[in-house]
Order: sequence, then C-alpha cells, then structure tokens
Amino acid sequence: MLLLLPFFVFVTVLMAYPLAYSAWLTLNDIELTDLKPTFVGPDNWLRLGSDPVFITSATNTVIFLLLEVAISIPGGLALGLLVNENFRGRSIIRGSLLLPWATPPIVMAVMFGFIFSDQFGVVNYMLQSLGIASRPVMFFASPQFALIMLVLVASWKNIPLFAFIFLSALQNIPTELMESAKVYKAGAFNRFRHITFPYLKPTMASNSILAAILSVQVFDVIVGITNGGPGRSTYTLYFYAYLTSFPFLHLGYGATMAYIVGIIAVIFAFGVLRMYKVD
Amino acid sequence: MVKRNLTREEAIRKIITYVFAVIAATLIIFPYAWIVLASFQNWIDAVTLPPFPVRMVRWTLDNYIYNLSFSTLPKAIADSAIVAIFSAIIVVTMCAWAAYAMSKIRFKGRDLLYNLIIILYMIPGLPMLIPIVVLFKQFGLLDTLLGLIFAHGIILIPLMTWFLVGVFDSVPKDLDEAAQIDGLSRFFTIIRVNMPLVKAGLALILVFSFTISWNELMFSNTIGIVNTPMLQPVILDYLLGTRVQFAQAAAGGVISSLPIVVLAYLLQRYIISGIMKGAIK
Repeated sequence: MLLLLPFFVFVTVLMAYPLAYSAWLTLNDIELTDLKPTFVGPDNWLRLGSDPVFITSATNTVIFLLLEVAISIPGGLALGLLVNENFRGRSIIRGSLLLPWATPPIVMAVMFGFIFSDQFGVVNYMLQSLGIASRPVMFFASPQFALIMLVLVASWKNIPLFAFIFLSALQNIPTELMESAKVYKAGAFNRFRHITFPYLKPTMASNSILAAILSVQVFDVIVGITNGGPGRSTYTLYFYAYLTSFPFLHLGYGATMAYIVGIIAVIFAFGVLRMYKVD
Repeated sequence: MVKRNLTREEAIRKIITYVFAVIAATLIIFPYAWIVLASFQNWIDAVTLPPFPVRMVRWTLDNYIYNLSFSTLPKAIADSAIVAIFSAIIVVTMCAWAAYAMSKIRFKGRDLLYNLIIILYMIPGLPMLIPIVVLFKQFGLLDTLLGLIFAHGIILIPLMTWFLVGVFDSVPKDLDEAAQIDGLSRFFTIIRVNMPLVKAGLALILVFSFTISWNELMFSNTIGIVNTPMLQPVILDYLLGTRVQFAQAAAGGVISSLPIVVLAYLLQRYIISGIMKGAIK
C-alpha cells in the first residue's frame, strides 16, 4: 500500500486541485493579463442575473440539453434495436457505428457546415431541385434553425454511441423469455413493452445522464459551424463562458459560468436518477 | 394458419429492418463520403452548385498538397501525435496504480474518492482549463508541448481512472489474496498476477486516451497558440478565416481523421466491449 501512496496522492491532487482553485476564482476578479486575483466575494455570482447574454446562453443550454436527450435516446434505442436484429450486412453497420464516435468534432463541423451550407450545400440543392424549397433554407444562418441543427449534429455523434450501449443491454435479455412470449403469441409491440423496455430502463437512465454531460459541453461544433451566431442565437453557456475567459480574459466570471454548466449537468443527472427510482 | 401468420410478421419485420438499415448506413456514411469527394475537387468546384454527380468537376490532389506542404498541418500532426502518445502513456501508467488500489484495497476515503472521480467526469473541461492556464502562465508552460501533454493528461485522468478501476475489477480478488498468501509482495502481485490479465484493457485505454487527446480542441487551442498550433485548431482556422476554405478543410479533415478511423476500425471489437463495460458501470 505504501508503494501506491505517491501515485494516489498525485492523481488526487491533479484532479482536485484545479477544480478547487477555479472554485476559489469564482469569488475573485482576475484578469489573464496581470493574474492578480482581487477578492470580490459573491459578485460574480450576483452579476449573472443582470447579464442578458448569460440568460440567453443558459436558456440555449437547457434547450440544447432537453432536445438532445429527446432526440438521441429514442434514436439510440431505435438504432440499437436495429443492430440487434439478424440481417445481412449487420456487421458492416455495427462497425460503421464507430465512425462518428472516432471523428474529431472539428471534422464534423467541416462536414455539416459544408453539406448544409445555404450557398453551396448539397442538401439545399436537393431540396430546391425537388421543389420542396423555393429558396435556400438557412440551416445554420437563421436563428430559428441554427440551434436545432447543432443539436442534430451532436446527435449524429451520440446516437450511434448510445445504440452500442443499448445493444449490450439488449443482449443481456434472456432469450428464453422472448421465446416463451412468442409461444404465447405475444405481439411484437407487447413483447417490447413488457419484456424489452423494463430491461432497458437502467440503460436509459445512464444514457440520459451521458447525453446531458455530453450536450452541456458541446463546444467544437458550435465554434466551427456558427461561432455563436447568427446574433447570439447559438450561444450556449459553455461557449459564452469560454469567450468570457479567453478572448475577453475575465477568468473569474468565466469560471463562475463554467461552474453553472457543471451544476446544470449534475442537477439533470440527479433528476434522472430520481425519476428512475420512483418508477 | 399459425405458421402463415408468423412468416407474415417476420416478413414485415425483415422489410422494415432492411429499410432502416439502409437509412442508418446512409446517414452515417454520407457525410464522410461527401467530404472525401470534396477534398479531391478543385476548391472552386467544391463550392459551386450543382454538385459533383450532376456537374463534372476537375479532380485534383491540390488540397492535399496544400495541406501537407504549404500549411502548418504537418507540424501540427507531429505535435499532436507527440502530445497524444505521451499524455496517453503517462496517464495510463500513473492511473493504473491508483486504479488498482481503488479496486482491490479497502481503505478510508475510498468511496469518497470514487465519487469525486465520477463528479469530476461530469464537470466539463473549462473549470479545469482556467486554473491550468493561470498556473501554466506562472510556470512558463503556456505554448509548449510539455504544457499540452500535462493539460491533456489532466483532462484524461478522471475518465481513465474510472475505466481502469473497471478493468481491475474484472480480475478476481481471490487471485491477489492467493498471491499474497504465497508470499508475493504487493508490487509483484500487480506486475506478475494482474498485469498479464489486464493487458488488453490497458491497451484499449491507451487507444481511448490517444483518441481523446488527438480530437481535443478547446485545451489545444488555448494552450498551444503561436509556437505549437495543434491539429484540430489548424483545421478550425480554415473555417474561421474571411474566406471559408472548405476544400482545404475537407482534405485536412480527412487527413486528421484517418489515423483515428483506421485505429477504430482495426480495434472495433475491443472498443465496443470497452465502451460497453465503461458505460454499464
């Protein structure tokens, strides 16, 4: 045990120290230029309520989180059920599910910014040549669509990941249960509702928490595709906190907002756990 | 009668399965195929409508040549590879010992520490980045490879320790106890008894760490600014300029995802089981 102690202390310190230090910074006014913290008490926290950009960003973050969970959990479940079926080419699809997980988020920004561009995007070209749209749809350049489009881009990465996790849960369902349900002529829907679904509930909870953690910290695709725009319609809290900290150098205020991002994820996680326990 | 009904249900099921399989495969593969195509087009063709199959375009390797000889990409690839390899190795060798202790030894504060790791995993990177930048500025580590290795190491620690605890949990505790009764010291118990059994798990975590570091943008973009621009920030620069260079960005994107995608494809079986193990916990 003595042998392990140094590693142990080192790892703990490396994890806990930065976090404790930034918690301290939330109570200080500190600029990156001079790095002299001035203690200001709860000023940074009080300032949030009167910052309209904070309100917009926080709202966008919550919308992003809820939409992402609402899209990627059913999507992941559907895809997981699909790759659990027996069909030719299944292994190819299972293998390609890893592609989005491995793709650098900036490359995703390149792909989707390009495909959905309003000037030269192939999707707009198809919509127009099929007569569905009369002029280019501003996927990323209009306040109505931009945020939801970013949610969909994030889902492209998350859905296959969740599908994997659902798949492993599906494979743990005893086959005898399904077989006997079939013998008693339970329909496909009832088999899903009474056998598959209850087995998947814990996985759904853990996937929802994972979705929340991943969606509050979406950064790369926002920077790469919309950079917060048009206007401030795709500012999320994480993005705004980064802007405040680095280009604008207000580290104390940035750290405060970064903490709120974490708090949102933790609140959501506890909410999910609670819902799951009550059921 | 019964038999006919069943086949009908199965037939419907089969058709639905194939329809959705084709849709899913298209949605996953199309974006890739599209930027691979774009990366081989003359830059003006890539941003002109109608797109390729409708209109003939000039095929060229210019975007790759540009990326590999006229931009900072080659240096960024080398730097990112160094940072990813070193941070992965350092994190795994360091966290493995701590994870072993958390998995096998009951000690005071163990549960507290385990919860701390999970909370740290939930807390996004920015609250860590801010103090890191402050400290690095004081110690002159900003804009150095050493600083980047250190920073990526710090991002990786909570998640990888968590995964590693799971890896060591899969080794039965009896083995350790038997080894100790036979008089093997703790150090040799880890090296001779545990290591051979967790080799695959450790290798997988090395790959995970490498991928996360290679794909990372925020820390790289903030810490490596002038002297050490990293891979993902270089690609981001194509998108943020006054004229968006999509064809060049596409080629850069293909180059930067190639090693990860090849790695993921080769190790898919292990990665799948690894993701599942990590996720179930």
